[in-house]
Amino acid sequence: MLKEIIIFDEGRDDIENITIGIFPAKGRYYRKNMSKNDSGFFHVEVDLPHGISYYHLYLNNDFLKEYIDINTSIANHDLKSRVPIVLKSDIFNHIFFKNEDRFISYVHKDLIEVKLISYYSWINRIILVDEKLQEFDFHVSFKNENKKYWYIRYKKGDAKKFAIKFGDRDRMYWLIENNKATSNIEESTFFEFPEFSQNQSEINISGAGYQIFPDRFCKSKKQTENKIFYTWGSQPDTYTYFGGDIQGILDKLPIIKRLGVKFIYLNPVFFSKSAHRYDTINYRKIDPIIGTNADFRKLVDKIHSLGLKIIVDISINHCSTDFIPFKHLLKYNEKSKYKDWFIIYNFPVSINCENYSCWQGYKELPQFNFNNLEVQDYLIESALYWLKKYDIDGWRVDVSDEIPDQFLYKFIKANRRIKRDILLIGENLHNDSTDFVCNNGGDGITAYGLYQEVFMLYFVEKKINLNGLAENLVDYIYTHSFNALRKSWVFLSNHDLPRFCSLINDDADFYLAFCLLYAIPGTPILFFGEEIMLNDHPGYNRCSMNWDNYKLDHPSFSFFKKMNEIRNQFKDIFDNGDFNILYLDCKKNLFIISRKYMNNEICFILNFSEEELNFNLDSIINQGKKYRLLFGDPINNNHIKLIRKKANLILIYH
Amino acid sequence: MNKNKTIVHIAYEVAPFYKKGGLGDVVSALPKYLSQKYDNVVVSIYYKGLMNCLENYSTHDFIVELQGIEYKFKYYYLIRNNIEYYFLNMEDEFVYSNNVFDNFNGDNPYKNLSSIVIFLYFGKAALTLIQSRINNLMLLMCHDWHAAGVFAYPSIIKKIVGKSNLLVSTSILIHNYEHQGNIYDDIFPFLEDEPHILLKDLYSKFGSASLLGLAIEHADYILTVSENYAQELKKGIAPHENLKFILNTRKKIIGLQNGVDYNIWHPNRSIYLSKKYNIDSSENKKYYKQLIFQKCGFDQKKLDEVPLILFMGRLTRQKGINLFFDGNNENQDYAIEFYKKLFDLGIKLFVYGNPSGGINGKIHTSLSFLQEKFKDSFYYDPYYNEETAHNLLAAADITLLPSLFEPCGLVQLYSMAFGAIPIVTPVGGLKDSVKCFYDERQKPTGFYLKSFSRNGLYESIKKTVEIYKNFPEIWNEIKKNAMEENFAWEKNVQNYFNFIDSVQVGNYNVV
Repeated sequence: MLKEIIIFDEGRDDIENITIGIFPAKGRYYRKNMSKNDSGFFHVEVDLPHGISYYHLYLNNDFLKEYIDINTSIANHDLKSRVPIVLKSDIFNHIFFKNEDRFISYVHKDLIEVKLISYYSWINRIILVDEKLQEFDFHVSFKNENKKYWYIRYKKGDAKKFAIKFGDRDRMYWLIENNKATSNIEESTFFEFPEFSQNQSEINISGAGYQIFPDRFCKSKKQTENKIFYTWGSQPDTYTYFGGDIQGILDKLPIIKRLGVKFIYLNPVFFSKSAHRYDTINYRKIDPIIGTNADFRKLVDKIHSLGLKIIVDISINHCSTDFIPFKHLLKYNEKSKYKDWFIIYNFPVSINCENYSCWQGYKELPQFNFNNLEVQDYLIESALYWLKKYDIDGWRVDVSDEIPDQFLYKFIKANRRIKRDILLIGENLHNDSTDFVCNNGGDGITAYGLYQEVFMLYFVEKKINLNGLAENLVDYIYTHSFNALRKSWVFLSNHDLPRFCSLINDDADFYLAFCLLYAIPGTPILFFGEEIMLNDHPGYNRCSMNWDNYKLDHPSFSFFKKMNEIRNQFKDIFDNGDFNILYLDCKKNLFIISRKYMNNEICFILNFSEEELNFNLDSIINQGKKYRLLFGDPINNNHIKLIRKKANLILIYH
Repeated sequence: MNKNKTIVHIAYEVAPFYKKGGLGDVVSALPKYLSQKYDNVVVSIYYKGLMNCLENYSTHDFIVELQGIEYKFKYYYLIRNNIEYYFLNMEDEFVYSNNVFDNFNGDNPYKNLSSIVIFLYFGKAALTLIQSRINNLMLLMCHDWHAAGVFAYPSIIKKIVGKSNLLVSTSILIHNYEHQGNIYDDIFPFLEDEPHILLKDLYSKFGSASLLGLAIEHADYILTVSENYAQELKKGIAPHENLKFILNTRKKIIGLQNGVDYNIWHPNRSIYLSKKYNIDSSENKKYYKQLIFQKCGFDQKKLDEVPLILFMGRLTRQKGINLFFDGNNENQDYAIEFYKKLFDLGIKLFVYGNPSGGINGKIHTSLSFLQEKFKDSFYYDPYYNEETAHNLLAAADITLLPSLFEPCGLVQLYSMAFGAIPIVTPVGGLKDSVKCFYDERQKPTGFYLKSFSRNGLYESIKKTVEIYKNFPEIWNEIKKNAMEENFAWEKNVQNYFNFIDSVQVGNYNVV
């Protein structure tokens, strides 16, 4: 844990005190009062883990309004206008490599991908050497100035031990511990690959997902009218219901199926007292507003019969204040048998005093005490209930980066024991998949890092050019293990974000961004309504679906249908294929990404410019290879005419 | 060049070759004045594609071992005004150019400074060069944290010390404590052994580590650019993170004030002023005031009665820019209220400087909005150049320096020379150089902010404007005092000589 003092100043006369709220890279949110020193500045020391943490500020105990510190928000921010505190170093070595999952992944049992980065331009050859001194060359997937990103796909044979050699024509060095170099080979120069593990290299679900926020998706005709429901289509807010229900989802399943997605991701559906339903009252009961457990069973069955799978959001970090153990605690205090289920600062517990640990300061969301085995067992059993009795196919674990590792590990293991190929995705806002995937056995994370550093910076904030985009994209790919990447959820909108099409001014950017999204190793998630380019209401993002103007021939609907068709048809390439930047021209704004597996390759030819571009395929197609257009405008004599901000997808094969 | 005692400066910028801010100016001027008595050598970085005025140089290669591999470094060598310059670069010529801080970098604003390691290597390469090229080293001056990588390689320093027949001292000159080159422990294992061990020690002692921290721990002398800033650092009242490095050292912090180059920054010598003036012809200021009023579209009728107030400098937190708009409020409620009150005083305000965050940033947007709102009295220009700066200083009656902190500060010194009266926060070098009107012990040359706040700023401007409008004789007196002040390098370098004299005999009171 590292300490960092933060100093705040504003020169306003009305600031009596400042509270800082810390979102650590790992662990739970907490608040601290800043102290004012003699010269009138506020400061505080905080313990933080390595990685990217965030903070926000509140003035004068007004916890309803976040204060944005202009001094730090000038250039820095994240998607919630919080200020990042980056406590990690950028490496500058000959080679950056570690014998761990981030750099070594099994594509399947017999195929291993090894990645590494070199920092000096003289290094133009890197070789994987096995114990019999057989040599295998790494390839460069992207080069930016002196820095090169390398990878190799190695077919596993008898060899057990490996070493890495790097250099140029004149000199070669062996890579040793901590990325130092030596000229002489020794026994310790060799390392072993990690053991193959089934879970980590198996594709549980191949294909895109479709995210449904139940309250806002579809209100069926069977839904009982309730005076608390807002009129469908009106301005949404955080608290009110619109009345979407399970029957509504059932009604629309055939349409979703036509989009070509392979699974449905449902935001929380358990009994709770808010429209978002992250405040669970009963972990084993469907919220009566949307239906019954029997309705849910019907939904799962129908989804399965359509050949789709269902992933459900579960909030195991915190619950509702109406959750029975918490209510019991409120009533009986120290005498409550549930007093160790939560983290209580002092008795008597009261919602008004906020004398218990709650999620990010929201008193309506008390957080569990994971040190209590009873709590652990209860939550695990609740999750398994839905697996055993309802046969759901996976969980999206809410705020997984705030939950202690030892519990996550147990939770994941227990779920896998019931259903080995269950899909487990951890929500993660810190671009870190090491803990959830590599250490605890989950499948992937929600790729907020990609969203922010690539898509927001380029398409919305317009702070990077195409070169910056490519660099950030490759950085993202080299920050995660291949297995974490391909199963992680990549997205441009969700229930916590503004809709992407509302953030951009040009529809062409929408399609271009999604083409890029599909090119990146990962599982694309479409947020309901994206298929008709549904727009946010001003100022709030969780609007209800517009079924009145829902057209199956909407250009966006056809686009996603086509993209999913390609993704499903060539799932080997999308699930297992390597990633290369074939061509990057910042002046022309032309970008070509290749995904290749075995003898097949798909090239994403992306024109980011405002102008029509011409491109001749000869430069990317070697002798003896054929190609076929998958998406985009026709090709004549190997010649592509790309209109502004448009992509072509071509398949190259033998 | 044969004074047999050499001072070596290590700095990451030196004007006119490569300059980003005040540091480059100081590293340009200081060796020039020190060379009256000593040989001066400047070791800096060759920024491929970004260098100016580099002529008549020769290039050479030298070898630096990095992590067990011999690397070819290159240096550009030249002598100008009796100062030797070495600009060194790595084999990959763009590593440094790509990593210099640039607010307007559209490529990737997040990755301004990719890795701290390249500054360790700068230190190592500089020492390697000194070891082979400099024979009679007396004092090593490392300017700011970028040069502090030197202190990660004590074994090479030891060799250099052994080679010199003089008493060799090392020093870190802190131009700004705000930037320290922080290093986190996740990178330690990937460093060379020597920096690894030293940084680990620093980290276990303080809970964090930085290149500046390393320098404070290991340099013989800690210098900074004004007496008062030295005090603020030592007392822990300067608003910086990680003051613990300095609060825990038993070494004295020596304040040596920067100087001004009056050959450039003087209304009688400025190459940019068509109508030169000095203390006896300061009525010429009116000519420039008229030009500026014209440019801004301000009403020129009562030119004499309406003071022109200038805020000039980088528009950053350090300079107090947050007093000029509302960061948290799109509607600028507080700011609008402030400006209404301010312009009721009958003043014109000119804000001049590159905004932090660039022209897409919040500062620029907000100031542009406010300019639109208060067209008659407020003008904002985000494109800094020296010619306009001179003309503005000549035109202004009052300059504002409401800095949050200011290690030395130059604008207040220029401003006084040009006969514009500074209103300053009494911090750092501002307090040292500006004598407050309400302090009766000395001849006043300016005004102090009552408090670092929008209200404090308003009150100070109000009082200053009252004197400007109602007591012209007093005003002229202050102006005369200000223009008579002398902060010339010729004079201020004497403090350096005194310091060096005592260092040489080894009797500087360290504790």
